[in-house]
Amino acid sequence: MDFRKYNIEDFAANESFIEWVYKSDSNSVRFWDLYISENPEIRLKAEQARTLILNLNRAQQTRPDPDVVSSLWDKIDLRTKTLPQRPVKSMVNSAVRVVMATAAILIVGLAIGFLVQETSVKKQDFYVYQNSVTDYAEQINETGKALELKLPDGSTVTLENKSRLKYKVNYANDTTRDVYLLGNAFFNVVKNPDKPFIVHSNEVLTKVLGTSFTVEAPENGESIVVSVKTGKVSVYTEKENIELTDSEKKVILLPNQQVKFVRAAQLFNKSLVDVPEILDPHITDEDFKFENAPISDVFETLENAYGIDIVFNGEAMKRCFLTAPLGSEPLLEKMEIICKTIGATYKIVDAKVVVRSSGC
Amino acid sequence: MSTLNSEYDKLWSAFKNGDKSAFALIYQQHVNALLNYGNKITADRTLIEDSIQDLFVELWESRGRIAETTSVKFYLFKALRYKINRNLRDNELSACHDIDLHQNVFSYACHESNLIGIEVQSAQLENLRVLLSQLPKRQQEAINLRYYHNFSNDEIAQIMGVNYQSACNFIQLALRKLKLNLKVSVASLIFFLFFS
Repeated sequence: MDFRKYNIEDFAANESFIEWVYKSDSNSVRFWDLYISENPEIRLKAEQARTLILNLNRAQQTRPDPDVVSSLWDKIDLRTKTLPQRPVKSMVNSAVRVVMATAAILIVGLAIGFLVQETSVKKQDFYVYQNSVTDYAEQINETGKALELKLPDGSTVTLENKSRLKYKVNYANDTTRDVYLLGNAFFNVVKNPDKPFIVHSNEVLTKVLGTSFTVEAPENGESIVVSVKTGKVSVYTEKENIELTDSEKKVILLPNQQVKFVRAAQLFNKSLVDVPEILDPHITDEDFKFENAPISDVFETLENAYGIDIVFNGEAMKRCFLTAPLGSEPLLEKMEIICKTIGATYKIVDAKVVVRSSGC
Repeated sequence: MSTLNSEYDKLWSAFKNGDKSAFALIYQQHVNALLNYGNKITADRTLIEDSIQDLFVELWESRGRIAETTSVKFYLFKALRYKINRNLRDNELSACHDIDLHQNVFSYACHESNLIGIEVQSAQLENLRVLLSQLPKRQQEAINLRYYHNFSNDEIAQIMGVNYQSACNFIQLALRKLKLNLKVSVASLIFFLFFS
């Protein structure tokens, strides 16, 4: 066949040419690559036809409306549920059955647009979670109260009410211990440096070697919060798996620190947990009784007790001394009292306590 | 396409065995494409959504009787078109005329609100969109199936219920008409794509 007399629209309508454009058929790719290189005079027309084909595709793209998609599914789901089936024992059982069955199916990639839309987080978390992994066991907590779980590796999980967790029964052949969370849970992870423990929660991943921490990832919530009780935790987004080392997109958390991932902005916001706990078990209330103590000593005591950083201008505050019988009050209350006493202010910036003072 | 076949097969047979989550996945995979295609057949969004709803409910109900299929997508598209057209026929004739009359205006308006992102070549694409919306309905549909949903001419003929040659003609006539109107802008578009 002589394609040299072909017009742009002849190329664009040719089935094997379209396969060449989309590289969907190796024979067509080979044929057109060769043909165009042997007949350079058609190159321009071929390129124009290719552009037309790609633009015809792009011009017809539509943004799926997640509300329509999910409300439509709700209706279908409802109508297919009421059809005669074998009797369903309970909500929990039927849900377990459905999701366990998912495990048996290979995941076929969902429409990409469905996964990466920043503006429409609504209603998709469940699908992302549901389609996340194959051959995992799942625990769904609909008991109305928190549920204690022991994972196969010995780690324990406190799964909050209305939360779900998928985990693997056997991690023997894996390099990581992955679990998938929809909802809120506290994890106490058994140490295993060879197999990092990774919590997938919506689009945020939390990676630890052995530590305890909480993940709050409510379905369709505005943000995801990870807070650390002990050990060291790194938190990053789904995309970060591919492109590492952007400090804004990966956060290392130490005890008493938390990070809030604001989904609309796709940003991490690191801070202290609301009520930091004393990390060193040897410290008692007595250690917080200060009498005419240099402020640097006071801050050092707090830093050591709570494992936090306190940033202050040592030179400006070298004449600040504190006398205050502090004790069991939470860290932030202690800071409040200290600052009032010495005429300073403080705020939490990036999980650090930053003290401002013009001296005493 | 062919590399995905085994996964599709597994999903399809799980669905046929009454696996509700396989059914949910099939829905997830195809609903966006079906909504997109539905827009080419009618401007009535409620009708499209109701038809998709009925389509999936009937699919579930008859899952035991449906044959193994080489392409779930093809099956769904064909069934959706049949369903929408049947529902259209059930409606009053006058209503049909109305829809036909305003088809171009409507589908253009729908699309405009549905566009993905603001892209560099948005002006050229917009131009193309307007030209597409001015094509006869069946040509628009064939172009949509061919260049957006990537069906073969043979599949397009079957989905639209016409013979192979007619399907090819729809596409060729549409492209010729588009080219006449695009002549100037394609040249500038090419320039834009290759030299920017």
